[in-house]
Amino acid sequence: MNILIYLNQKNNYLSDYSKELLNIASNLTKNKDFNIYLVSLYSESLKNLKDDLKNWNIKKIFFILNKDNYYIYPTKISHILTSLKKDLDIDIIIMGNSLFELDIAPYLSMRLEFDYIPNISSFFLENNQIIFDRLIYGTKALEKSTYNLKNLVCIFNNNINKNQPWKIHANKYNNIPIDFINYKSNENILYELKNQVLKKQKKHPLETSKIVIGVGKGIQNPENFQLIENLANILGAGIGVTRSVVDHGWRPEYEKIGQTGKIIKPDLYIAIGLSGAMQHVAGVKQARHILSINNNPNAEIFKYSDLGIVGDLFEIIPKLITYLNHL
Amino acid sequence: MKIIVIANETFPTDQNLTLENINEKKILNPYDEFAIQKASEIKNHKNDEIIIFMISKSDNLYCLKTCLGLGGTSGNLIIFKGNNPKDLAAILVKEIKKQGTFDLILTGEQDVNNPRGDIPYMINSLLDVPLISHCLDIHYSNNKLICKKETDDFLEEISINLPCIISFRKNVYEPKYPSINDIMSINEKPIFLNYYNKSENNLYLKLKIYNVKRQNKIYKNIDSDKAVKKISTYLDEWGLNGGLYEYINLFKSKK
Repeated sequence: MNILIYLNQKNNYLSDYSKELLNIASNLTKNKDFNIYLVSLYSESLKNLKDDLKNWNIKKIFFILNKDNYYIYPTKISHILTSLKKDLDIDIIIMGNSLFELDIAPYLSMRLEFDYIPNISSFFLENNQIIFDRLIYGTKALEKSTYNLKNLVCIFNNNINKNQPWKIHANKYNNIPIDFINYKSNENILYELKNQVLKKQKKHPLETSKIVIGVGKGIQNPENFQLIENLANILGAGIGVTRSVVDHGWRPEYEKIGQTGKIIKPDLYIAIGLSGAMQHVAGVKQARHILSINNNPNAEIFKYSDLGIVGDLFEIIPKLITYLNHL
Repeated sequence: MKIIVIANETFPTDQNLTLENINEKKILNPYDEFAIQKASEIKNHKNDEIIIFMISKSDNLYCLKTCLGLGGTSGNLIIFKGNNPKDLAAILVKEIKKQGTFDLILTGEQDVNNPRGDIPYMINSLLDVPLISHCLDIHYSNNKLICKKETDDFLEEISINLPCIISFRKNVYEPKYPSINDIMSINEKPIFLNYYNKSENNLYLKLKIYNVKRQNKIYKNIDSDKAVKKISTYLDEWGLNGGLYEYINLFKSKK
């Protein structure tokens, strides 16, 4: 069995999400004769990852070199992956759920005539088959689907597998060989890039933060976000917002949590000044703990909370910040 | 200009889901509704056409008529009871080809209730027409379409020639309601019904309602000092990295 993992790795340390994907691949191939191949866009910092990667049984790493800094088209990456599949006789392709990978995966599944399974929240192996769990209907329902361990392109959500290094009983490959693939010039240009604006980079991205603070219209104005940012800095938390905050133009669209925004799975979700509309709760239902502060005792969010405080956020949050600062 | 909008009907996002009502209530998928609004904005000549392809599991015309009220000039109801996306994409491509040439295909990126998002890519692959995905907005000028696209790190502005396919990752914030004139005109617009046989994936599918039980410890009428105490005690008890104190200090040392 051969598995190809596409790593959307940008830093010089192996991200938790990349470790999860490697663990998932190792889990899938447990007790089987298997090979894991890695493919990633090349950057200088990735060279340092080679030692980290020794924790997994990786047969070979392929780096895609973009020497001339061309605009990367996902379709072109899927062409590269298609030829790798043919050369290596790949059975399963595993990817993360970044927008870039969501661009590559469905196109790839079409080209290879593989089944495409996105937003997988857990999986089980049973009699040479694999059962995938996907949360659908805004996390109101769980879909279980069974496939053979063959011809699959899988997109796994964050936080489904422990990110600790996989226990290796016998590392078959001490020195992982590396191969380079050139990203060729963009002949047949599909579209032209006119302008590019960097998104406001967050210290703690929503998808990977252990603690996320959700903020609703109760914050009253954009200036009051400073209060939330102070709390987030102490807790190392990501900040997400409800649709009404985005509607008011207080925060960008990509910070929205909910059925039509980001669906997250933190250890702790702190809901501040938000009512708890069904569409918003869909985005945080998988949180391990939900704590909410709202001055309306009838707010829906209390139904979904482990701990709820009926009170004024402008009184409670400053005091909480002071308390945490003195810990 | 000939614009094709592919739309889907779906379960209302503000309703409680049960296994009984899952196929009863339907609304227009909010991502597709945004595509229809954009199509209406781009349509500037009287002769421009907006052809709606509504994917449905029944022959209920409610969502298709909503699309026609919002600016569609003709409607095609694709009645497909299967669950195989590849079959659905092939059906859509077959129907699109029946329309002859087209300038633009607009659609929502995904069904709000099933975030697969693969249909636009499949149509792109089968028709060999370029696709701009994760689009937030479009406008048309000088025979070119300018698209605002979201990527992992950037917001990009892209220019593309027609014909092309656009899939939107933005949904409708402020629903537009058809005017009385638009509503009156719906019955004059042509509607075509296309039935397709049920096809199934080989895979075995099972669906169950997903619920999480919460502790629901709600404290009313307490002052802010007590509230802070309740929060800190709770956080300490469930032990993130061995307790709140350890967590905060671990985080401080990381900083």
